[in-house]
Amino acid sequence: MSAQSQVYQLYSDKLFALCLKYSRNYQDAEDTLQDSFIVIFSKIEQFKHKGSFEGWLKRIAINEALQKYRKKSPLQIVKEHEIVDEVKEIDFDDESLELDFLLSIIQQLPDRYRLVFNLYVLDNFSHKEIAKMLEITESSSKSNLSRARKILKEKIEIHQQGKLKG
Amino acid sequence: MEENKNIDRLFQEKLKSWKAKPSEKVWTGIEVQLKKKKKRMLPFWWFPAGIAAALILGFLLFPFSTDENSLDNNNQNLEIITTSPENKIDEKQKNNSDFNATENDNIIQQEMIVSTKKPIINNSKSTEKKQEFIAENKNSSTEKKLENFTEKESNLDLKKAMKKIFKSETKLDSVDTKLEEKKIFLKPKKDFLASLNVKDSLKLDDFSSKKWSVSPSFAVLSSNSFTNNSSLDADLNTNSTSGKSTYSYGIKVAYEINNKWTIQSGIHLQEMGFSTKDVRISASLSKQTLANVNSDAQLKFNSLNTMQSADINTSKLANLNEQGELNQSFGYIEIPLEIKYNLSNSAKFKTEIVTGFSSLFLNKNSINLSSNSFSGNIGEANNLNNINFSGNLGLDFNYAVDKNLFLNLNPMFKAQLNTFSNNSNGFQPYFFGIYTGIKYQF
Repeated sequence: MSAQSQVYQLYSDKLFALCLKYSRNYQDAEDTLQDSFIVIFSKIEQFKHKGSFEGWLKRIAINEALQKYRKKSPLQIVKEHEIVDEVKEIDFDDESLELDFLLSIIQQLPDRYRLVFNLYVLDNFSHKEIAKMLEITESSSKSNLSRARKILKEKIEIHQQGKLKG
Repeated sequence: MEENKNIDRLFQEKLKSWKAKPSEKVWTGIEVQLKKKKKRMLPFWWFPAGIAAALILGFLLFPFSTDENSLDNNNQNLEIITTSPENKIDEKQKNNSDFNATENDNIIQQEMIVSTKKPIINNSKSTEKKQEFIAENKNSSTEKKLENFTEKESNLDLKKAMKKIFKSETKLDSVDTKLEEKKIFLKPKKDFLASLNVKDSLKLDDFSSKKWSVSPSFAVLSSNSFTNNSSLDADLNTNSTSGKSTYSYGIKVAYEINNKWTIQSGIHLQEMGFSTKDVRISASLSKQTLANVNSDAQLKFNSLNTMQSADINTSKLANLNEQGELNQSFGYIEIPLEIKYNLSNSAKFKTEIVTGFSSLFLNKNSINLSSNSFSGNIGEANNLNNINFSGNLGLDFNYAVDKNLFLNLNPMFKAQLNTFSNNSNGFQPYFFGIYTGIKYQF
């Protein structure tokens, strides 16, 4: 077994999960994963051993995902909701919310919202960093995030209500 | 705000340590692309290595022993000169029928070979390796073998990298607590700015750590002149004067200022040669027979094209009329000072544009006559400057064989600026050279 395939075996699962979160759909995620590994294998000799190897791999995958959506299309037209924090208090029932569902609602987010939500909530980047990565302003990063949260929240509510009825 | 935290936490908990298995076709796609990449790279291996090998082979094919023949020729000529005129005529008639251009060419080649003995020995050591490598590649001519070979090669690099990685990764892999996860995600945040331009930064530190490089190189030069004139004497302007293929060898030292700019210098031994064909040689009473040549030979040189019948009669030794070729060769110690600008580089291949100038110190100056009955040194040019300069322009291609070792191919155009002190008859030499070598970075 070649060294490349060893690296792939070890890390493809984690990186694919990451790609799925950053992508619109399964097909896009596979493309991004493939592109990421091509970059990884061509640059592996340049890995500096400073941070963790996994962190390095993730940064490459994130970069690939951003490249895919950052320039591709202008922001999809979304219904602009008033940002209100007065959504009813819901006790999120963790058990009833399957992973597949959460993933699907992330993927359904408009590209920009999805990227910002992933970067900020799941990968701990600051708004300042996100603004640079996506070539947007810090304030639009913030508003994108709260809109993303709002959309997600609504979808979860609908999902839970549907479940209760069903 | 509390709501926000809740929703964030929900996604964090569910999605952070989650894994998903991609389908088989992703790996198949990666494999296909990796092979494509390697295959495309292969010709770059072969190109500079092939040229270098061909050069060395070419020189090795000519036997050095023919050197003795030209010495014999010289002895013969001495005899001929001392024999009576009648004999000479016989001799001449005999020789005339045998005379062909290839004889002259042989002599030129022999001279070149004799004087290049040294560099060949030096270079052959380094090229042995290259030749072995090519041989290896040729053997594995079937596609399957080729693939195995490239895979092995890249695996070696990867394995090295992997060993180190696994040492540092074992901790992360074995422990799967949330705390550990947190660390992993926090790290990218810290050095994110560096990761923003992953490509750029990676390029940078690939080359910036190694500033100096040294490269022994060998070149085949093709000399020429911007004009058709002869630098020896205006009388020979109508003759065809052409440059010969000569050589240069030496060592270059380069210092990388940043990832775009590099300065380089070094020392090279360089030969240039020009031959003037169709020269009519006749005996003369005067020593100064060519305007720009110091010579002891009492010979007169005319262009065959402008031959006058009077010339034959005025000479007492009129029957020493020969047709021959004047070969001028001069050599320099070249010290270049050049700057290189990086046009593109990938992990393996680097292309730079080179420009600068060279200081040239004259260390060889001779003019040889070769005809069917006489060949040998007749003197030296008196109009060559001891120091002159050349303007240089070219490209520099490097292909990484190893982390620190590059194959180097460097086509250069160099125009001589002040080769002649006076009266060059508008002769302006330049040359085009293909330098090949091995570059070691440290």
